[in-house]
Amino acid sequence: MNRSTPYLSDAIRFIILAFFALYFMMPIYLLVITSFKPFEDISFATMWALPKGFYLDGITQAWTYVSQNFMNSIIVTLPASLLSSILGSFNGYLFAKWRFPGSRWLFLLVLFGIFLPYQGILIPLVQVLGALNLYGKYAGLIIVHIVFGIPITTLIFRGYYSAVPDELVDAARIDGAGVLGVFWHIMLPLAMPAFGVSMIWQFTSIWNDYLIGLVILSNPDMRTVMVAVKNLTGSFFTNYGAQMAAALIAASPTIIIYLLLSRLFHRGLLAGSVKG
Amino acid sequence: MVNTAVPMSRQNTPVTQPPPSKRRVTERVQAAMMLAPTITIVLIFIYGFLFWTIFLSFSGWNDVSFEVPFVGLRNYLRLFDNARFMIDITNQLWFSGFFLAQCLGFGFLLAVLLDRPIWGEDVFKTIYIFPFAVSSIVTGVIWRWLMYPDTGINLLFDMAGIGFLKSKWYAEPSIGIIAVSIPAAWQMTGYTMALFLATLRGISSDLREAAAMDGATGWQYYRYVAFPACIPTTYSATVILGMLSLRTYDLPAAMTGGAGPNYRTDLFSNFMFETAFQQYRYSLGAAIASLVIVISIILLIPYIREAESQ
Repeated sequence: MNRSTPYLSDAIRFIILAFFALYFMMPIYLLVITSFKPFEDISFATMWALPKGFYLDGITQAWTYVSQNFMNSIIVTLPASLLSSILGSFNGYLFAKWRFPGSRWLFLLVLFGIFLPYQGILIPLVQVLGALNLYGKYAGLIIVHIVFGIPITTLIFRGYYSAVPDELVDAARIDGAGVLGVFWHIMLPLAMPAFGVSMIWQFTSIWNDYLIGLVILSNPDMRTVMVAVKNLTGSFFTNYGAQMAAALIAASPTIIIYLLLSRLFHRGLLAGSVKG
Repeated sequence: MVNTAVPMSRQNTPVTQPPPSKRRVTERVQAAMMLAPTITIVLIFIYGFLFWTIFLSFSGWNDVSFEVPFVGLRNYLRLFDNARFMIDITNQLWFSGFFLAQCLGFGFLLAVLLDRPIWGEDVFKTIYIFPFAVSSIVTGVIWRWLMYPDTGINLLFDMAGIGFLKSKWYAEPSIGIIAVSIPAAWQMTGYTMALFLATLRGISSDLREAAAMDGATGWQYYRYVAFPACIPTTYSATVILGMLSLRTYDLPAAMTGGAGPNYRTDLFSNFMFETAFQQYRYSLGAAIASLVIVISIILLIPYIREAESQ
């Protein structure tokens, strides 16, 4: 389209966009300023006022509430995102480059796991983990996150590998490489950007999970950070400042990843939805 | 051709070249065998569990005995006789409706505004998508105080001299669930914008130039070229966001504790969770879950057919 074609002046566009930007940042602004206020400044009347300085009282107090849970979340999130990405890289390769009869249908079946309504699997999940002696254990939660992560990681890697020319595969085969050899020598070295996308996506969704962690880890000492933050909202001995500070601590890993790696995050966003 | 409705990458060229040699056949068998372990587990965890939930919903199982007696439709009859479930149906409709309207409406608007280059474009995009990286629990905690009747947004309204707009938000039974849909949409609008923007940017420059050559004004370009191209995206976004709204659990839990005043922020997922995991009425919980599964499948069927036909 001709750039000079007017449909809305740039100034009006900019003003509307800026208005929405303010709206989207408003809750984040509140989260951050509240977390760095001293306790005596936490009041309903001055909620929107900037802190008088940079105070860490709230963060320090909140950290004592949630530090253990923060560590628990790391224990669960890191292995689960790594392993589901590794399995996804392998599955995505097999689906992309080695079509066998029925592989298409199999892939579609796996794919719709992304849309899974969690309510529909929770009761059997608890039963099966109980029978396997994994209920209430980190290993159980990690395994569940891996299994439910495989559909999306497989999709991310399949989309990535599909773009690798088949000539590369054929050349390796002529050199005698088998199914595993092609993966190891050709595909895996090329897949590092896809690993970035997949790891970020998995880290974010597993770190932010509340429901599955709540159902599987019943022991209070093992609760994930999101479960701990939610529980603070129901307690009366913390003011809203402490709740906000705990929320900021819980949100910080994914926020930092988003701000540092927004390009990879953005690619996961589209891969993880509808585009292949 | 822009089509984001299909969750598949299109392969126009066959991946492998005929004729299949003996080696090729062996390799394919190997590939299938290597896929088997993880895929089997995934399929059991997804489809096995879904079917097991539906099976339980026709039973009187309660975790005490090993017997799973068949009770027919009893759980469903109880459910539709339950006043809370009736409130939940209304809540879920309002919630999904307002959530979808905000995400699609604002998401589309922002995508159209960002379609042509503008100063600060990357910053805007980063800001709009930002809430997607924030968990629903954290979102709920922030908005719990933003919408707290004595402060937050109401205080802003007072300061701006528009105090007549004040509301009790989630504490007001008549609009409680609509108030909860606002932070839900705050999280997903940027994502929806990204979907639309990818579609708009995917329209080939040839098509844009052709439209301009034909003398199409900006508005005409959008009316006859860009908006029609967005129809498949609107459809897939509706499916994705609709599924998401059906399983929304965290956000009301953090904002109102889940059920809210007189169950006015209660959604299927919260009712299901309390029934199954706090009252240990597993088969009744399974009945709620099964209804959600059925609605999800109905939503997904056209989507699957579309993907299959490619």
